[in-house]
Amino acid sequence: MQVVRSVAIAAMLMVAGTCTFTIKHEVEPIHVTVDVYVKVEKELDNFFDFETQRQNEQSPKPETKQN
Amino acid sequence: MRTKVHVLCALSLVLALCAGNALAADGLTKAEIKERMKNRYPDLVRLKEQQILGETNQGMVEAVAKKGVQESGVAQIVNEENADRSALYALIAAETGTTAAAVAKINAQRVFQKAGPHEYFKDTDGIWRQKKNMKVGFATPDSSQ
Repeated sequence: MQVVRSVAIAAMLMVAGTCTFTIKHEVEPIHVTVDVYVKVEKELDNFFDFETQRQNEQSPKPETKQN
Repeated sequence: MRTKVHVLCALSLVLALCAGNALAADGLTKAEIKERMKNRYPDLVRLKEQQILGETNQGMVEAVAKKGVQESGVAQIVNEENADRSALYALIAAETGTTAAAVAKINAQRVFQKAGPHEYFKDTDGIWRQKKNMKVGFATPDSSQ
């Protein structure tokens, strides 16, 4: 009887342990990927700020009405 | 015998240090790369507007057709631009803890989003298409990074 109870407890612990492990593996990589993507995008935007500056310089200024 | 081993070790160390110094001398800083790319940018824009150059989904520039390479200076611009981009991608990858290839793909997507409808892009099949004829997702970053 004691053996059966021990086996049941061990099985329950194993199931509980497996569940925790699975959740960690599913959630963490998504956060890491998004984090890195955002960081890289920001770095690139900062680096290539001269592209935006040039586009702004070349875009026609709105005409002002003269009375 | 032991002396020989010591001499060989010392020589290897000296060679390794020399190689390291040479790399450091050649390796440009981000500010230096930016200055070079900024100076080259007007030429790059002109060649893209003339549809001589296009962007690949690997974050590099290439001549759209063979005739483009024949124009004087185009090959040099392509080589210098791609060398600077490679160095930049490696630097950003080291800073952000990812790979240079992943940075290159994110930049390819950034360039695609900012491009005009007539600019050329090389799709995953290696075919040049104008932006207006392409779907929105040009270079999907590798999700495994």
